[in-house]
Amino acid sequence: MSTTQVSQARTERVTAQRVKRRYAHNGAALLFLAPWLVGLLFLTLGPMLVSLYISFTDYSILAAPSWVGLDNYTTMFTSDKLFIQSLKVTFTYVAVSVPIKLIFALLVAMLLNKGIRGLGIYRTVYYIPTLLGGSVAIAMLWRKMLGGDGLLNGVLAMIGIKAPDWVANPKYALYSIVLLSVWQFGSSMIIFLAGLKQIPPEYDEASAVDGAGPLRRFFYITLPILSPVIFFNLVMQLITSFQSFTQAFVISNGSGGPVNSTLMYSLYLYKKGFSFFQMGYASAMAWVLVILIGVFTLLVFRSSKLWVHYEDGGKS
Amino acid sequence: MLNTKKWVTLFCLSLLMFATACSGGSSGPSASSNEGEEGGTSGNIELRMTWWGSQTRHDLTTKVIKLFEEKHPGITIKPEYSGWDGYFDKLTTQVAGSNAPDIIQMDYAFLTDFARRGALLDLTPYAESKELRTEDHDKSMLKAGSIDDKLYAITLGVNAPGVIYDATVFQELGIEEPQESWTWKDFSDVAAKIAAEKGDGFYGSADVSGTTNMFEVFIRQTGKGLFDGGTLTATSGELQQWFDMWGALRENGGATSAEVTASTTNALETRPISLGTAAMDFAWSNQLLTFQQVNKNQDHKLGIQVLPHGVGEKQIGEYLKAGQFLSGYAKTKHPKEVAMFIDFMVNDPEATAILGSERGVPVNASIREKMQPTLPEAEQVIFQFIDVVSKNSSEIDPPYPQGFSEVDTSFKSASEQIAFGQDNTPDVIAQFIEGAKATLASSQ
Repeated sequence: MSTTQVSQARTERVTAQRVKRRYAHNGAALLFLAPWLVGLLFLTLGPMLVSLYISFTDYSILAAPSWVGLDNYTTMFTSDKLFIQSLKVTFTYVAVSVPIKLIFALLVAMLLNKGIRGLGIYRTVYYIPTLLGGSVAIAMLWRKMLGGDGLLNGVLAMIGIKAPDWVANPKYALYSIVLLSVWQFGSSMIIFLAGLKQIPPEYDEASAVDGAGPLRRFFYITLPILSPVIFFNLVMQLITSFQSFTQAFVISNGSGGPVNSTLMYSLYLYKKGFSFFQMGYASAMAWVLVILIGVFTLLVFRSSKLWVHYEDGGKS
Repeated sequence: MLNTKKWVTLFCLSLLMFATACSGGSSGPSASSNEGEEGGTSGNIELRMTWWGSQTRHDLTTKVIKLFEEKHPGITIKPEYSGWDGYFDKLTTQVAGSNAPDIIQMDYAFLTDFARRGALLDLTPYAESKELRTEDHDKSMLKAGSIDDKLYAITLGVNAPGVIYDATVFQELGIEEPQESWTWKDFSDVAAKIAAEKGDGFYGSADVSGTTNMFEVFIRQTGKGLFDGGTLTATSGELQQWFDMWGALRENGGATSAEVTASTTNALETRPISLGTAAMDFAWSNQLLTFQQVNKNQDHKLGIQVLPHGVGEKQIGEYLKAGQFLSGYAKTKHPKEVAMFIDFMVNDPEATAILGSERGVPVNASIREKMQPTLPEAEQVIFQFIDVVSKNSSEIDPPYPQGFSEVDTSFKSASEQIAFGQDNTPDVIAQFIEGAKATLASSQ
């Protein structure tokens, strides 16, 4: 009787100590997390909630917002032609640039995986554009290079081809931005390279012995094993592509021109908010973009069951 | 289950990235601010000043700031300058974030918007107390800077729209320089002739069919303003006439091709006349100076003439405009010093001598008189041009209505659509008018 009481008391004491120790631990953890938590609350969640509220108002920035309900959202889908145009531009951009970029990144990664000498140097060289790519300076440089009398046309002229002004022609302007984005394949490439390194060479050798050609080995061994990595890259690129802004902004001088051919969604959003003083509408557009990205990400995740193979059967 | 979890994580991630992407756009201005906040208490006042313009203007303005700082040791002024593109986007953001610069270069098109919404400092008390002297300023220019009977902006210079031309090219081809009486037809003929004589790759004029300011003059010649009571007054017939004229010019080389136009920005360095690929461009009189400085062919002499007249015009379309204004920020901590600096910039003999007429002909009459004889040749040309215009012009229209910047953008886009032949002109025009009217109606 007494022994059980003693042991019970001891257990309680021990538990209390443990709990105390755990909270002490948590305190330290919270302290270390505090900067991030404050950031999350005040710099992310707070502004997001404010923007949600503003999206239901007519807000000219300089004057106080006034409530308009769903007006911004209905205008967007019923009467704003430029909104539809910006969606078109963005979808085209995403649909063209993401696959090309991923294919290119994979090709380069496979080349680098062949065990060439100076791999580190190549890896760095190919990665540099990704580091620089988002910058305004590079976009300006790009604009100069692809312009009417830029470097590219200079070279083409030498071999007798009279080329258009790539960034000032509505037929090509968007694709010059696509090219700029593809050029920044570095981060996807590094991830692909890491994925490729994980593939045991025995698989490849075994199937080669069995008489499979390089193409067959690529499609039946490399790709399936690499599919989780492809999946990751695809999702990441999809999200960033939907949000791309800087390149279009710089290449079109902030206008989305010529003839709105580079009017990316984020660019139009920016113009609505900061050039046309319609912050309410811009906020509504931002939320539509959030939903759009969410839906597309969800679709990719859903489709992943069909094509992403985990070696352990998906029970990660 | 796991899939949902992953999905949630990624969704959050996407939100996060979006939020950072958004804040990235506006972090530029706020990053460069906040330094002048503590200034007030220590007796050392720091003011921030923002303006747009070319390199020439940046150099001259910084010089004036240095001079001011020498004369007023307690005050420092931090310049924040940029080109025209994006200037007002940035300013709006700064005003929204309550950290706009104390001294702001303002434009006629945005003045009403900013003043009515309480973003600008009311300068009336400082003008009354003579801390900001306005007695020598042209009355019309004081009126231009006043909204609802309060003085919000001081004119930095008087300008007029004109056609800048490369006199050397005209001479070389034996073509008579434009006369004050010239019409749009004369302009088209001259432009076509220059293109024909100079051959491929050289154009008569820059294509300004998408520049609302210049189209406005064309409309004013029919006896009305471009806007009336917050709506667009230009008819589809008038728009058709305007675009057809430029369309014909693009065909015979009289105006730059669609591609060349699209790659031209507002920066004067990129204009075809500066690159030596065109003989004419449409601009503001004060820009002549910079045009001369950035011209690739430094030995070429530039001239300026009034905008071509309408055939059978009802009134002269040409007008005098307060080029840029200086305003104070409503929430500045040092309104008195702001007024002091504005006064210095427009009334101080040394400061105005440095600035010259780069921003336009000075607004202070006594300064103007003193200055005229000492001016270099290029600036004399501008003074003479303003003289010509002040004799033959009609009064400037009221400031543009709210929603103008969106109409301005779609006008440019409409002209590009036509130039690139993406749609037939009547359809584009109908769409433009419909869009402009809707935009203006919803902005009132």
